[in-house]
Amino acid sequence: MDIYEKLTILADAAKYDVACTSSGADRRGKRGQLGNAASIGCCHSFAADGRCISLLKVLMSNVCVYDCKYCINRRSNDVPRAIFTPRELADLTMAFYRRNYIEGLFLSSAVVKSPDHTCELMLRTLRILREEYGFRGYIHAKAIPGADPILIRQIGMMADRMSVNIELPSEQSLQKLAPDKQRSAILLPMGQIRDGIVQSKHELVRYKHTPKFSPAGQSTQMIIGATPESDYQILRLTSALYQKYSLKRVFFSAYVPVVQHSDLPAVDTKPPLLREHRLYQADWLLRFYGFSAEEILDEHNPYFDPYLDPKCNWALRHIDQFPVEVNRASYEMLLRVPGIGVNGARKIVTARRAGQLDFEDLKKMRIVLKRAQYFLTCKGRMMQGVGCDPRMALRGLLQNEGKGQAFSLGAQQMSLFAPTAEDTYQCLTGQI
Amino acid sequence: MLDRTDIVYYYDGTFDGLLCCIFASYVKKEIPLDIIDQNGGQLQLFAGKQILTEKEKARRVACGLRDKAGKQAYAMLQRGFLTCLPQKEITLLRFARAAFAQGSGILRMLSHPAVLPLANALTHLRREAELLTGFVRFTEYEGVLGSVITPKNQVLPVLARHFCDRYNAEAFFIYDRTHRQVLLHYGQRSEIRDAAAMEVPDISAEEQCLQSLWRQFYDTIAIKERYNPRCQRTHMPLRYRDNMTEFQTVVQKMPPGNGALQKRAIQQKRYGKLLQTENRSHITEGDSISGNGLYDL
Ligand code: SF4
Repeated sequence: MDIYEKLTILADAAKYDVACTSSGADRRGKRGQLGNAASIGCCHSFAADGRCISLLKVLMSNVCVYDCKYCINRRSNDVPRAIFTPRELADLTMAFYRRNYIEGLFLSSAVVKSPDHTCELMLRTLRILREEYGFRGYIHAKAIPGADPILIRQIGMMADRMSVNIELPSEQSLQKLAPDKQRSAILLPMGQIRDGIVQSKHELVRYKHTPKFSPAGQSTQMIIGATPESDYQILRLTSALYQKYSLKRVFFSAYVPVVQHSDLPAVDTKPPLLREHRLYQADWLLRFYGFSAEEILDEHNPYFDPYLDPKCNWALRHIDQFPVEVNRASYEMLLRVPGIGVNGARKIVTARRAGQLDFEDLKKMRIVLKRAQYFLTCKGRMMQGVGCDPRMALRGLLQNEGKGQAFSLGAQQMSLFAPTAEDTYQCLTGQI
Repeated sequence: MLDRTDIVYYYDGTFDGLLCCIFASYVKKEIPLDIIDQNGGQLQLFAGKQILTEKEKARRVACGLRDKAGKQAYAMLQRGFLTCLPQKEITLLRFARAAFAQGSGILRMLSHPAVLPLANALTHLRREAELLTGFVRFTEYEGVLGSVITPKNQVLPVLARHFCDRYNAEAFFIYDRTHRQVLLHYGQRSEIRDAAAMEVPDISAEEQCLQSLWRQFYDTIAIKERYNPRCQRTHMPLRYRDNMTEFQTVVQKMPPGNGALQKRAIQQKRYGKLLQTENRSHITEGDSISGNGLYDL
């Protein structure tokens, strides 16, 4: 089988993996060696589905001994199989990187023979790249649950970021759909990686040149919409993962039906993109806007509003705290204003030191007032023609959201109120 | 009144030249209607003053501005010169005057009329450079990596640091076809110089093979159930795609020329031979990349 065919099979098998970011690692180039890494990450292209292509995202192999029901690579599925040799994959990575196609390698794998064997193949690839070729670009590697901790440690010394897929939002779902996997087996390497990172940071303080362990941290991902968990459950889990395992990111992957099975949504179900989108919005609120999971959703409201983003939703439910005065509100409160993102809030805080701001100033500073206007005063006054009345705000907000393309919400088509391209952009940059 | 509606400055199109215009504006106590690059090919319709470029005056303005308003304000002026802002010269002059008047406080006055257009133009420049950091595509020509871009702003000085660091061991060039400039890097040295045209040899079979591997990866990685060209366009405006491997289906052909000679020149990594260069080199050979003219993002 030639490399062209292998790449086709193994990229196709990896495409459902979502965590294609290259952020968190800062490494200058080194004379005579190829590559560097910048902590903000870099998108090199955007695929036809609008997702960022940053890394060469492939599986080492799609030959799998497991039989997870939701996965195209499961043992019982009849698909073409392939395995890269470590050398082939390292060479391909170098060739792509030199041409600035990619920021580095995203290496995952199905379980070939055993978790240990799989990890060894991956480790050999990374060794060739880092030690033989002196590659200084970004590497994201998946830890295979069940592998020897020593192997995982060695991979972590080569990679910038590691991740272990939590796969599904609850233990019951995991048992049902991925009988070969155990929650505890997934959490074990996650804990190991967390501890490795902490330890490595301590050592770095003492000895400057010790090699770093997964310096860009660890992430995970879970499939959304294949199983019955509520948004609230998912968000609580997400928040717990951030707290307990100090993850850098939790990624959500809208389930794309690949198989007919009584335990899974029917094959003609559309992937729940709007739901995934809302989860990402809420995820930004957790990480950068000082919200807790319980503020965003609760037992009585366990699902996201399809029409309103979670920040607008929160603001409307707490309308008594609004409007806030642009010239006096704390940075934290500005962050809670719908439509004002981290950049916007920072700009306001900087600019108001030089003088009182009014709406014209905000517009000039390119702060989008479309949503924010219902929640702000400047020098004590609302924008002309706008009142801080929840009904009026709601009407205005909905009008603003009323353009968009067809997205599916469960079974029914939502032609209105779907995330617009702009929303999706906001979601990527986190300026909600 | 300072503002003159009847006077236009003509200058030589260099940054030092602009600094001298600022100098003249203070000496004459006037703000001209416009400042025009005399090489720009515009008809000289207005009564104009020819502002001569003198290194010493330029240096005095640069130092003065740094003392008065700080390094950051000066960097804004430098960066502003790279933007595609219409009438950028007069905007920069107004900014410089405001910076002299206000000191470093000018940096916080985001909505000040002399700052706002510049700040927006700089955002545009930064954004374009960020995008191109990812979108630049190299093609290998017998060991040398080459790329063509068509940006709106003069991004090469901004891109240089990143690419020279990342590909420090490589020999590469990035040709900016809009501004007819090229960034050259070889043997740990970098320079940006003017180049009226750029000719490249045919690509090898091996290179074609690699390009098709990349195109195949690009096509395969998209999930068809999530097809969303609008979102794709928001992130990656169409105008960048012409220069990107994954959107090219036909192999680029070399324009007629003496292929053998060009190939030999490339082998020797003597880019100068490949380019119809003019002698307005922005950075002289031998300058390190930290030298003048290359800025951080
Ligand atoms: S372990 Fe499960 S999810 Fe992973 S490749 Fe094998 S079948 Fe798919």
